[in-house]
Amino acid sequence: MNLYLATLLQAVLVPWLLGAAAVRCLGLRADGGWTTFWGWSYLVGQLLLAPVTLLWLWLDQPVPGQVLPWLAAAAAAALWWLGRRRAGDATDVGPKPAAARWERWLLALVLALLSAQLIDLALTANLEPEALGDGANIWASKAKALYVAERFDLAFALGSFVSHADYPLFNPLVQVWAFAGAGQVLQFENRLPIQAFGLALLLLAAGAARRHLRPAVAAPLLVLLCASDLQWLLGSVIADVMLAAGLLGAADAWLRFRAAGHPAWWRLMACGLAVALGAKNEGAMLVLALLLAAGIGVLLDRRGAVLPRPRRALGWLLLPAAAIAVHRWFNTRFGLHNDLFDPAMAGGRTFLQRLWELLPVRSPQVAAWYGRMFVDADRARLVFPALLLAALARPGRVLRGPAGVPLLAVAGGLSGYALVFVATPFLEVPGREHATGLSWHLSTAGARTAFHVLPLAWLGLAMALAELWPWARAVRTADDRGPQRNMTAIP
Amino acid sequence: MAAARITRRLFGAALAAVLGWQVAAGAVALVHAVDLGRSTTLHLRLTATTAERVARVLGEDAAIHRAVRETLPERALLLVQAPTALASASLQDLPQVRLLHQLKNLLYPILVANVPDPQRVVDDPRAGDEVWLLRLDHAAIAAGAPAEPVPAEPTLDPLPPPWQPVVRGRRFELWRHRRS
Repeated sequence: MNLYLATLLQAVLVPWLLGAAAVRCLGLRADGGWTTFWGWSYLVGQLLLAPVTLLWLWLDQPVPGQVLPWLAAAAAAALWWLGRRRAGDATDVGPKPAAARWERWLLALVLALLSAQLIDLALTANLEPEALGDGANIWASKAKALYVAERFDLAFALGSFVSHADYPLFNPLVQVWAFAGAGQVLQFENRLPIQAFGLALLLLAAGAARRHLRPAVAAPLLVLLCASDLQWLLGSVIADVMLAAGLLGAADAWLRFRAAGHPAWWRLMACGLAVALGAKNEGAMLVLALLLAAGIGVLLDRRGAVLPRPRRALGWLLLPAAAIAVHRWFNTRFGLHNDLFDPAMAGGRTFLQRLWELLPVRSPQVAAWYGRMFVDADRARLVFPALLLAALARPGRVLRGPAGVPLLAVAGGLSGYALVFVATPFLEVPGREHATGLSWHLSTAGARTAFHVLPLAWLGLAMALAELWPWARAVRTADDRGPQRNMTAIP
Repeated sequence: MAAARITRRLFGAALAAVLGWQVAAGAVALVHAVDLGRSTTLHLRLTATTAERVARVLGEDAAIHRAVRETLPERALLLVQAPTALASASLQDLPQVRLLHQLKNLLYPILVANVPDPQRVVDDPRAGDEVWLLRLDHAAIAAGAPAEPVPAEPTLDPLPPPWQPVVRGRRFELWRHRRS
C-alpha cells in the first residue's frame, strides 16, 4: 500500500479509534457532543500509545513494528466492547444547547470547510521533507534517533544529531509509532499524526465554543482560530499544536467539571494536562499558570459545583505526574539539561540571575514586541486584545465567573514567556543580530509561544461574549445549566 | 451606574469592531491560503513515493541522495567538505548550506558530518575502519550544472590513496577511505 495512506491509517486512524474507545470508557459519549468526543479521542488515543511505543523501544523492539497498529486496533475493539458493557455507568456529559436548524447547519458547514482547509494545508506542506528548522533538528531527529537506536543506546545520537535533546518525548514517540508501522524512517509522512492534532484542536474548540455560544456566533469565531498561527505551525512536525490542544482540552474539561461535576471531565482534564506536559518543556509553565488560574477561579467563584475528593479522583493526577516523571527519567539517564535553567549552558548564571540583570535592559524590547504582536490581524492575534476588551466591559463578572480561568491562565502564560525571553541565554553577536540574541529568539519563538495560549484566549473570549451579549449566548438545556450538586461523588 | 453602562457599551462597541475586523481578515487569509492542488499534482500530494518526493525537493541534487543511499551502509560516517559553517555562511553559500541540512536529515541513520579537513578525521582511530567522503563541486552547484551525465574527466582534484573514488556525478564525488 502507498506509504502515505498507510501512515494515515496506522498512525492517525488507529490511534483515533483507540482513543474513541478509551474516551467512552472514561464516560464521554459521542451523542453528547460529537466534536468534543472526537477531539478528545485523538488526544487520548495518542496519549495511550506513547508509553506503549516507549516500552517497545526500551525492550529493543521485541516484535516487528508493523504488528503494533494491529495490536492497537484489537485493543480499540476490546475497549469499545468494554465501553458498551459500561454503558449503564456512563452519563451523557456533553452539552446539548438548543439552536435553530439553520444555525446548526451553518456551524457544521463552517467546521467542514475549515477542516478541509487544514487538510489541504497539510497536504501542501508535506510536499517538503522535514529536513530544515526546529521540526527537523529537534523533533524529527529525536524520533529518528529513538527508532534507529539499538538497545536504547541513544547517547551518541542525542549528542550529535539532535538539537535540544532535553525536550519531552511525546511528539517523538508519536512519530516513532508511524515509523514502526511503516517499518522505516519516514521523511514526509511523519508529519501526519502531528498535524492531526490540529484537527483535534479544531474539534475541541468547536465543542467548547458551542457550549457557550449559539452556533451562528461560534462559527465565525472558529474561522478566527483557524486563521491564527495554526496555519504555519501545521506545516511542520513541531510540538506547539499538541501543547495548545492539550492545554485547551484541560481548561475546557476543568470548566465543564466545575459546571456539571461529572467525573469524566476530571479524567479528561488529567489527560489534557499530560498531553501539555509531554509535548514541550513550556507545558510545565503553562500547566502551572492554568492550575493557578483554576485555583483563583475556585476562590472567586463559589458557584462552582465540586472539588475533587481524594483517593481515586486525585489518582487521575498521576497521569500528568507520570508525564513529568518519564521526562525527568529520560533526561537524567542521558544527562540532558535545559539551556534556560542549566547555568553551565548559560554563561554560569542561573535563570533568576539573568532575569535580574537583564530585566531593565531587555524588558522594553520584549514589551514592544508583544505590543506589536497583539495588533497583528494577519495571524488572528487580535484575539488577545479582544479578550481584554471583553474583560474590561464586564470586569467583575468575567473575572469572578468561569471566563476568569482562561483569562488568568493566558495572562500568566504570556507573562511567563515574557520573562523567559528577557532571560534568554542567547547572546547578541554584534553584526549578526538577525541570527543571535533576543531579537532572533523573539522572531523565531515569540509567535509560536503566543500560539500556545491563543486557543485558551479564544475560549475565554467565547465565554466572555456569552456574558456580554445575551443574544450570542447558547440556549442551555437542563442538563448543562450550571452546577449539579448531586454529582459530587467522583469515582 | 450610568457610567458603568456607558463604559460597558464603549468597550462592547470596541470589541465588536475588533472582532469584526479580525474575522474578516482571518476569512480572507484562509481563502488565500487554499491551495487545492494548484501548486502541484494530486499524485504528488497523495500517492507519490518517497523517492519521487525527494526528487522533487532536491532537484538535481537528488542524485547525491540516491548515490549515498545506494552505496553507503546504514550508520556509516559520511564526511562532507562544505565551504563554510552555517554560522558564517554568506548569502552565496546558502543553497549549499540548505542542501547539507537536507542531506543530514534525509540520510539518517547515515551520519553526515560537515568537516573542513577530512584527513584529520580519518587519522583519528575513533573514526572506525571505513570513512566516506562527499565532495561537492561548488562551482558546478553554483552554476546549476545538471547532475548527470557523468563527465568523462574528474572535475575535482583527485585525493591521494588510500582514498578511492566510488561514485562520480556532475556535481559531486563520493570517496571511500579504508584503513589498511
